[in-house]
Amino acid sequence: MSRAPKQENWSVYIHFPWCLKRCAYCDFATAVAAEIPRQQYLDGILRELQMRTVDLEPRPISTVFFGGGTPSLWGAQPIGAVLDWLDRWGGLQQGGEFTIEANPGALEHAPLADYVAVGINRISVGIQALDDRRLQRLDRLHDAATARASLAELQRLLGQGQLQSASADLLFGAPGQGMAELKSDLDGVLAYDLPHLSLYSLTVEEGTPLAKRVVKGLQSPPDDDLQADMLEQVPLWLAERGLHRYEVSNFARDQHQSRHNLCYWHGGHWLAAGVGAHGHLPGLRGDLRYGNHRDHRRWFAAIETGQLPEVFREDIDGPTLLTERILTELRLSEGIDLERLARDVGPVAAGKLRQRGLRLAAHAPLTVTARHLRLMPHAFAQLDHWVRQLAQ
Amino acid sequence: MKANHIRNFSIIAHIDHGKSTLADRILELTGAVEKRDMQEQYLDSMDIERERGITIKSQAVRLHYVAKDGIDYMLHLIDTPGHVDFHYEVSRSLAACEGALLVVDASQGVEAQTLANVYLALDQGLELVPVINKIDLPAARPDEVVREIEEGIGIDASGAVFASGKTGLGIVELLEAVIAHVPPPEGDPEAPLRAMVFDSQYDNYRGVLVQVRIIDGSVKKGDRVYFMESGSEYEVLEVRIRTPKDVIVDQLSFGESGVLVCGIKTVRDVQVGETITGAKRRAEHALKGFKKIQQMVFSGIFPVESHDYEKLRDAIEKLALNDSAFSWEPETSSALGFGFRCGFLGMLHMEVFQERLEREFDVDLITTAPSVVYHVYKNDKTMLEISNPGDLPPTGDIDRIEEPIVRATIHTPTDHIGPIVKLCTDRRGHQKDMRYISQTRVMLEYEIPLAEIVFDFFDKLKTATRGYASLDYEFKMFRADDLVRLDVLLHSDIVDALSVIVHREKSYEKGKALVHRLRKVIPRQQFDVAIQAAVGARIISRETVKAMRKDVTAKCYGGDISRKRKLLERQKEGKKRMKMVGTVDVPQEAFLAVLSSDDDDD
Repeated sequence: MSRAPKQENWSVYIHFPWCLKRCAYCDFATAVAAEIPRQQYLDGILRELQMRTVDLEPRPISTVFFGGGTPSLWGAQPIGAVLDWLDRWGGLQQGGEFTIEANPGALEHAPLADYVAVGINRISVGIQALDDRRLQRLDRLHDAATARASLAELQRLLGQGQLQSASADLLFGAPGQGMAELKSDLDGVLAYDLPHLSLYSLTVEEGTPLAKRVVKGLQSPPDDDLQADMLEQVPLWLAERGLHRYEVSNFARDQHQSRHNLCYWHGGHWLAAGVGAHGHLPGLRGDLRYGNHRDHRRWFAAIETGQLPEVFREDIDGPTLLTERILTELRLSEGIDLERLARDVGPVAAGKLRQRGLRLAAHAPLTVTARHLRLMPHAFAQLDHWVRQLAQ
Repeated sequence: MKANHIRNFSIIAHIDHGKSTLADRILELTGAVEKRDMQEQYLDSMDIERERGITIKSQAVRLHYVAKDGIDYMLHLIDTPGHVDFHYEVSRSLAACEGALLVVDASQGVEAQTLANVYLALDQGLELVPVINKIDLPAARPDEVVREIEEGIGIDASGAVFASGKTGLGIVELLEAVIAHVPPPEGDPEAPLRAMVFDSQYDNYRGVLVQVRIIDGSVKKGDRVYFMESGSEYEVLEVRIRTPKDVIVDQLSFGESGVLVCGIKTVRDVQVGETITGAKRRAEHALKGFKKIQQMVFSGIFPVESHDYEKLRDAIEKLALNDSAFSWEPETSSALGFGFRCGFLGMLHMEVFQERLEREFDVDLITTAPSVVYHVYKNDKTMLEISNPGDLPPTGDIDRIEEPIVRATIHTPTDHIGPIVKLCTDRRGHQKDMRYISQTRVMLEYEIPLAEIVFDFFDKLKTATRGYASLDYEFKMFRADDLVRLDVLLHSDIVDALSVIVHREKSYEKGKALVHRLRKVIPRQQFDVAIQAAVGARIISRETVKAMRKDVTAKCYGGDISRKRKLLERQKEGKKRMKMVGTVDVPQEAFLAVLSSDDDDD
């Protein structure tokens, strides 16, 4: 029996773990290698996709996201080959969103236009900052000039209609960046008029080089109060420029929200392949989630012996699904869609959540309507607190 | 067995001087324990005893040893606790012996605790056999230590046995010395039974196992016996000895030690030091030395989750089955809900008990800072015994408060006298004596309020003397002083479980330190939390835990969802381990903040 996604079309995530250098704050599945096994990795990805799609119903694919790592280091040919494979399997949907992440320093491997040529229509570039000293402190490989060059290239491709959308990532609240420096970074990026921006507060994740530096006292931890101020300020600045917050850290013009990421936040199904990738699929009993090996050697070893390269697979039962939905959908300005929730976890559980929301709303920054439960915009800096309150 | 072929002895040693290892070697040499069955610290059966290297329970082991004179001797090795908390228990175990090995580490020399127990032994008229242990260590200075024993303790140590528990060296010599120097038991085999209880343990199948030394007469299965202190009568169902395996025997005669099983349900019915005599043929006088057990330190024990109250009660009941020195009664705190006020002999006893509760019964606990018992005299001439600062009557009703004072004996190398004198003075101590034991070692005696030493005194002492000083203390008296209750307010509400009784002159400094420490352990919340310390209506210190303004995960994409969900679950678990006090989440460790050392502050 083949399984179909709860939404109409499939979303697909492909992880490419290699980077030229590891950034201080990054805790994603990444690897730094002198020689990147580009072809071997393509073969592996295609094998994993084959294994994973055996019992999935082929349906048109509305979004594909190449994340990393630095997938722009892979080259246009392998990216094109993956897209071709997906097109043959379920069909790439007309007007779909096909994104690749790129780092400014890693563009030289293939000009961005090459990726466009093989079917990519959205590029998200990791700018992080537009100040050489701060970029260095984050262990970024590129400098501000390179970052500007890649922003200019995105602007050009957008202008020529070669890209459907484009985005840049910025970090804020890193030590050494005050409100004025943030404004300057933002203005620098806004000059290129991209329709989508992601702004992340710098977080010290366990096990990262940054965490070690903070523990050793070599670097001060980010100042929470300053970050809170920035979290309040940033949406105001961006709204003036027509970029509206639709998720805690994501801002877009109308029609430019990332459809792929919305699939995660709405609790949709997606197929994932590659080192450290996580997928969320319809299972035989409810949903299931799997996670792949984060170590590329183990991932290769599994693929080569014809096994799924998974480290874990878990059933997502009703209560878990509910918790996850609160965790992800409350991040959206639109809030939790109670109707869809009722469809996924049953009207009783959804009704209880709504009741809890109503009770809390008496003294909490929550809005409860017939269809939605959402956090008021000024309370996004406290999001996790309200998630904990709601996810009993 | 003829009485003059019996030897009863125990081992007196400071912690770490190798008592348990020496006992292991004796068990091996006498064939009591086969080498292959040997595990280290054989006699310390509780995990906690092994881990901490301490003995909590006493027991007598019967051994047989054919001496060089060809005679088969019956030896009773009575293993005793070695910690100051168990002073009285040690005295009773020693009273069951005619002699004791005085084990002194060949490099460490005589220490305060050794000395305290030596005096106990000498009080009981015990013959001491000095053993210089660990002579295999490079730092060993046996001749010097022999001199220290002679000068410091005043006993002849010329015949001291040089031994090593580790290598087994000197064990035969040691046993020969026991036979030569420890006198055989004296007593009247025909007199009415008099047996002294020196400890008891609870056994799930047999009830209480009463550890006794027969002083006069004999006892056998089926005898009816009478407990002279408690006034209860029982039938002896079984007579046992330990070899160290349990063996059933017909009877115990005068001079012997063993275990009586009388179908007693709780150790509380069997007091250490009790005299057992025949129900029909009663002895005229009980044995001397009986004292009712006195708990010195009290602490509130509460379940983190209020619905764990029953579970906690069951756990305490089970542990109390085997611990006659522990007392408990229900207590209610407005901050912590329902729990128990528990009494202990001392800090070690308290820590061991709490650790066993958490480890063996898996209950999450909140324990409040330990307190001593105060005698509070009210204006109406009545006296209250108060161990919970929250129970203190209004100041206007109090005539005076008396606190327990102990006599503390400290042994130290002479170069550390300065810091010790300073520490004791800071803790309101009065020097009573200072004696040079040898040219390099000195003994200091102080009268100090017990409350000043239960917290961190010993740690401070160790730090001040780089670990060289040792401490022993015993209760002396109650004495009035200018004592006040220091309250802590969270978000303007008094948290009863955080109140402490302190000397007025120290209240400002203590309040400030306490508030500062609490600010560090109380996590930021959704709102500003004011932490205040107050004496009566006067606020003496205030700090604020600023509201947490940012509490949001920056990124959450596909691969993160499982992880973030697990993080959320962990956070919820963490929150569970906190106690809601009013509207403030307070972590467990906050309730012990009073205890932490001032040096931890920056």
